[in-house]
Amino acid sequence: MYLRYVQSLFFILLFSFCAPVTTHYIVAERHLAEHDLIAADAVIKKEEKQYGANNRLLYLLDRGLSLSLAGHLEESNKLLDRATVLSDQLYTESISLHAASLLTNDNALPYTGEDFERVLIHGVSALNYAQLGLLDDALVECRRMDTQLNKINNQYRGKKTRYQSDPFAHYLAAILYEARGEVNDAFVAYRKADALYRDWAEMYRTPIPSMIGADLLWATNALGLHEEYEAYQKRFQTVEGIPKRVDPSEGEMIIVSMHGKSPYKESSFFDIIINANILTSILATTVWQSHMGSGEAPISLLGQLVRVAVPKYVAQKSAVQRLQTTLSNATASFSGISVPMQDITAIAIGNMEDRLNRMRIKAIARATIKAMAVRKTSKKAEKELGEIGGFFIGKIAEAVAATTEVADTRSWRTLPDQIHLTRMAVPPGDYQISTRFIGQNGGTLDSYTQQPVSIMAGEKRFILFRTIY
Amino acid sequence: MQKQVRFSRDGWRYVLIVTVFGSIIAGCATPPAVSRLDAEVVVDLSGRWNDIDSQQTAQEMVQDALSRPWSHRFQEKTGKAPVVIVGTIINKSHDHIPTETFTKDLERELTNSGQISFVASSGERGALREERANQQIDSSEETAKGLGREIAADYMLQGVINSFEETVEGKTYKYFQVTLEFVDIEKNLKVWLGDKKIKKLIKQNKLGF
Repeated sequence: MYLRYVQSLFFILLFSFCAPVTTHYIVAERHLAEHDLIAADAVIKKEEKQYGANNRLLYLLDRGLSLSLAGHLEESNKLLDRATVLSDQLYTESISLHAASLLTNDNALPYTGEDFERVLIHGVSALNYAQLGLLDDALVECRRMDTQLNKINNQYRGKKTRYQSDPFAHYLAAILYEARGEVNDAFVAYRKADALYRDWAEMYRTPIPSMIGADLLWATNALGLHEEYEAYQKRFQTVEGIPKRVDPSEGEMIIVSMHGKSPYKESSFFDIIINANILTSILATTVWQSHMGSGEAPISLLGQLVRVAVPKYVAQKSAVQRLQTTLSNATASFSGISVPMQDITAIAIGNMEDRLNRMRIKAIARATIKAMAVRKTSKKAEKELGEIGGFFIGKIAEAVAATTEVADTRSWRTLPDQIHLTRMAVPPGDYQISTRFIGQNGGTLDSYTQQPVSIMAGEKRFILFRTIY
Repeated sequence: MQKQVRFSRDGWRYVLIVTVFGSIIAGCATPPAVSRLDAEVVVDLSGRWNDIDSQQTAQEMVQDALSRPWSHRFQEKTGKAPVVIVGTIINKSHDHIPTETFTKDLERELTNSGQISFVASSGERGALREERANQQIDSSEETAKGLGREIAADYMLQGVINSFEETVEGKTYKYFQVTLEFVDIEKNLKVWLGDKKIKKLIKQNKLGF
């Protein structure tokens, strides 16, 4: 008789859908620190089976980016495309898996990606295509970023959500339109990027990129929009006249750099008192108590105090303030400084804050259902096994409910903390590229030298760099 | 009076079994089933631009182009069929469209009509010119093909593919518009403009087992 109860509770623990293993990220980050991007990708590839079916999307995201960094751009695009298809398929939610998640935790559900992660699939793809020189395909991905954002906005209509548009997507599109000679489209995209960066300056504390003034002045001058030109001149306080743009005899090196590590999630616990009647469940406290997953189950004599877990992000801010890039050959040397374009940590944390109430409600519902199940099991055991047996089984059931109460801490861990951009106009030729990632105090945190690259007149050449610092 | 939720003795056991086994089934990977299809069968798995869209668009636009008077007027004036070169078809849509496949479909339909001749595009003739140059050096005089004897195109075919996409509550509406034109290379006159619209509605259930 005892065995039957223990078996049932063991069954729940067996399928308690714990979070996936994350130790391989530490190994991959070590390789990134050594600039061995191929070894970093190999680490992710080796763990494919460990991700499991529920985390297939997570594997495709992690590997998609690690392949991109390792220079396998076409293979990266294939995986990111599969990630897009899978992400669309995961719109259909499984009733049985949701039922399982209400008895255990959200790790029972397939990982569907955070909103900004689903947008960044296309951001990484766009950079891949740009590096391959396939500018039309890069523009397709920029449009897809926009479409994905519209999809998300429609999903959250009427609900609070800060991440509604992405200025970096528009700025990237603007560069690509400029490369194609489509000045009008470039101007529209630069203008959108400018408007959104002004919102983001307040929302996410991302400064407006310093070169956007020059971009808007160039575009309005090229299109003969004199009123707009004068307005931008006044706003950006330019006194030098038409800013220097890339001369047709020059090429432009566009360096996208990824700095630091994206934030990771951990469980944040809080305690509530659950009344047996689910309609009258109330919060014991409104103050969040954060525990670092100590595993202690709060066993209450009344048996009605339960622990609820929701995820929270922990930032891992990059120490890099800017990237200095030097292009040099036998005859000349050119230097450029990067500008921050996207703060992924700020977006992630803001996104989570917007969803927090919705997650709390679901977590409380889950805790309520578990508490009911514990109470029923305890009463049934008491009837069949007596008072002591019932108390014993009840406490085990409580412990199982508490043990399975963990937050969904899955996230796209190979993303960086920040994305920066450098634009450098140079004469055509072959160049050695040296990079120096500079910290707040001016010291060098990371540096390396790239294989020589060639650039032709009129070409916009994209290059991607990554530092773990 | 407050209503209490009651479950029978076996109720909870049933919920547990269904949940656990349902999640096993839902999570299980099944090997893909492959079946061969006739090339003409329409298969739309995701709503993205596919080979059928390319073929149908090429067929319908070519039919339209050939039914208009411009090619007949040219034949009456010159006594020969117009010669066309394929220019750029710009993809401004939300899907990765292999425009080379699309232009090949157009070339095939137009060439097979017998009313139009095609010359190699700028991307294709580089290899041909290189071969001719080699022949001047390495081939016999009788068989080497002469230089400066390419047939010049009379018209250029160019165009653009645009799209619009919106998703609300599991329904995605996709709209593609393909616009093509023949342009007189000498006079810059557009002698034919055609467009083809494709609309797709993709529905996805919010809930499944």
